[in-house]
Amino acid sequence: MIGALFYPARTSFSNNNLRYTRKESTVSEIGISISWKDIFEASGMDQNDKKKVVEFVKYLISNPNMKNEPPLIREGMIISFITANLRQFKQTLSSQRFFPHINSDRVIGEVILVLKQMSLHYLQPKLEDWLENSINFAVIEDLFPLRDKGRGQNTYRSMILEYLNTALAYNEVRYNFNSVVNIFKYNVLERYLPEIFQRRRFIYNEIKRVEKFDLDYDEYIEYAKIIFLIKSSAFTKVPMSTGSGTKKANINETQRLSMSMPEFIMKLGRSMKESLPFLTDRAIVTAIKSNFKERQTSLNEASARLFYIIGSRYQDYKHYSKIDRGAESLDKSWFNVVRSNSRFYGFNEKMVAELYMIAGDNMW
Amino acid sequence: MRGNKFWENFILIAIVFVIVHTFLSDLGLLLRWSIDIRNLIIFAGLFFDTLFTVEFIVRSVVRGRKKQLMTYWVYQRGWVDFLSSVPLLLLSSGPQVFILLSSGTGEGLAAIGALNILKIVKAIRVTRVLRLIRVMKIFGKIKNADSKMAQHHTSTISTIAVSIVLFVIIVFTFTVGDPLGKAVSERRTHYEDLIDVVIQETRSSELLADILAGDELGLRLIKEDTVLFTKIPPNLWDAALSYEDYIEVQESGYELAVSVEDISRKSALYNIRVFCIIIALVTGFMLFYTRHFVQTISDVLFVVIRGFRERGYTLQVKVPEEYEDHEIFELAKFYNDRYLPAKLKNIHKSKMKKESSLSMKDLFKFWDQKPDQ
Repeated sequence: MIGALFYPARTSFSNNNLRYTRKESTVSEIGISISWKDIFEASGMDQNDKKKVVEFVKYLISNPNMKNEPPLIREGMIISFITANLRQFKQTLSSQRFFPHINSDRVIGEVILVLKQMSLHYLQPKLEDWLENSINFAVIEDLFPLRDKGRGQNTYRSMILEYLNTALAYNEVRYNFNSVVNIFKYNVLERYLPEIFQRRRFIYNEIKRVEKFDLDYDEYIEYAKIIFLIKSSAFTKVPMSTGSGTKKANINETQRLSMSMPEFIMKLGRSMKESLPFLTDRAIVTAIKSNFKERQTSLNEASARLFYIIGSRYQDYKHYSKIDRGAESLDKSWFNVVRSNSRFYGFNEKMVAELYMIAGDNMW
Repeated sequence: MRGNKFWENFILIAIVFVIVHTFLSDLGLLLRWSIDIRNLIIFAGLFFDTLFTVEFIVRSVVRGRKKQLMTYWVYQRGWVDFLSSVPLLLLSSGPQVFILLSSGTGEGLAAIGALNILKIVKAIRVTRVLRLIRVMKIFGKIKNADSKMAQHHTSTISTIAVSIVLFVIIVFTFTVGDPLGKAVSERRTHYEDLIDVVIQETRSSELLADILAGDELGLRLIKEDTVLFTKIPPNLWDAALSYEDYIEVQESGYELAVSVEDISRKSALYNIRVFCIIIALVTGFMLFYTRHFVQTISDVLFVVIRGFRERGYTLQVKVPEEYEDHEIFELAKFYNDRYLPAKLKNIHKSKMKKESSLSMKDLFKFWDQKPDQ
């Protein structure tokens, strides 16, 4: 079992610091080899330049093509744009009109830093609110009892928050966290999971009989919330062994570069377990695998397959307060559209069909 | 632009008022409202007819200058504007006010002896029907649906229906004859014959006056400017009777005023009936047909067009089972089952490739917006 390879659970944790921490990560992931520390200490930027950078970022964010996108998606789109046009972007920033007196790498670093701060600023109150009000930690305590009893529910909260603050330092984690924002915002789990448990059809049977998950629907909802909160951390980078030594990679890079997926799961799982020792190995594997297509999951991983579908649906979710008269409802439309291409998206076709029925019956 | 909007709103309000006016003019007759009120309604009719005639002329001139006169007449319902203005002014409210003013001078209908009263009244009766065309004018003004297409189609089908109803009424009036006009004619003939028979047989004006005074419809008998009898004192005549309430029968040198009030009331009731049919027809189209059209045509197209135009819009069209074999829903099914999956797949692929909707040009625009920096 992969779980056996994890580090043993840690029993002492840091204080209940609810503020996010700035991680000393590098921006090498977009092709610039400079650390945040370098940017801060040696950016060579005066206050005026920094102000210009902030204005520039605000301008990019307000671009008509993405002004309707949520902050995390906007950030991802800008970073993708910079990555795809790095050379031109650098040239432009070095031109007389922009920052001729500053190294363009540093300017890009500052741009990304500003973007990141904006996203974290957007996320922080949400995280605190969810952990405080949306998750029933009494249920979590029952599901995942801590070895050191009597620590209280705040311990779970602070562990999760600390872990998320660390994970959210990664661009791709933040980008993929958009699905979580939507899922919490629109109470997706509270709506779909009771329906699934009430109908007792395919998904229910997969969870209960094949995956052998013996939870009631209210417990399963809280479980799912925890999984969704940590799901995106599969996009953090872990050191992976390659033919040319060790290289840091996230889930996408591991897949793209044909690195060993079990090794990735094991290493990421270990680091998650270190920060979230109360979680079972099974929960951690489910969280990681809920980023995987169906064919990459095992038969008994129905929850991961279900969460992958729900996560994908809400990653690019656009909420319309009023649906056009001649149109189907939001979720019903989406599930029906992807149903015919389930294999392409890596969804379980029967699960999508059932979610489509649920959405249709409830006009979601 | 602002003046134009004011004008359009003014006309819209005038249309609403004139529809109410059309109804009230007949209701006043039916319920025997006071002559003053009925006269006021007649003057208001002249005001509205003049207003719509001016509107029609102004629109025609403006469109004519832009060489769009045919477009205005044919596609923008200029013909409706015409039929509901000029003929009414010339054949209905104009003559009505003329008769009213002439009788108001105290000389009575005799003062317009040059005119063939019967023909005028008949023309008025026919052209009154044209007033109902105004109900159609409201279609060009009221936005009863978000969809231009729905509005246009509802307006077209209503125009066809109302025009056909009015056309049939007019054709019947001129061919088969107007039953109410016929009743007036018969009454006239009856009293002409009565005067003729009594005078031929007895040659006694007193007897004729006695007979007609005892008749409930006889109002006044005059011979050579001598009033042989009158049921209404001459000074109250104009205040008590409208020209629509009686007819003048001239026979053997006698002038007999005979009441046709009962016939006028039947005529008013008939007009109100036609008015209600047309209002119900138009309202029915506006409420039910527009709704049906919007649900089965324009809403479908609206969703499809949005799906074509907006990258992130992936809502499917609702396809009701009962209509799924309609061509429009065949299109919707194609959009739902082929286009949207392909579109979503495409979006997914471009996300995988991390394509961005930003361009390098956007960067330069930033500095272009800030020339001072």
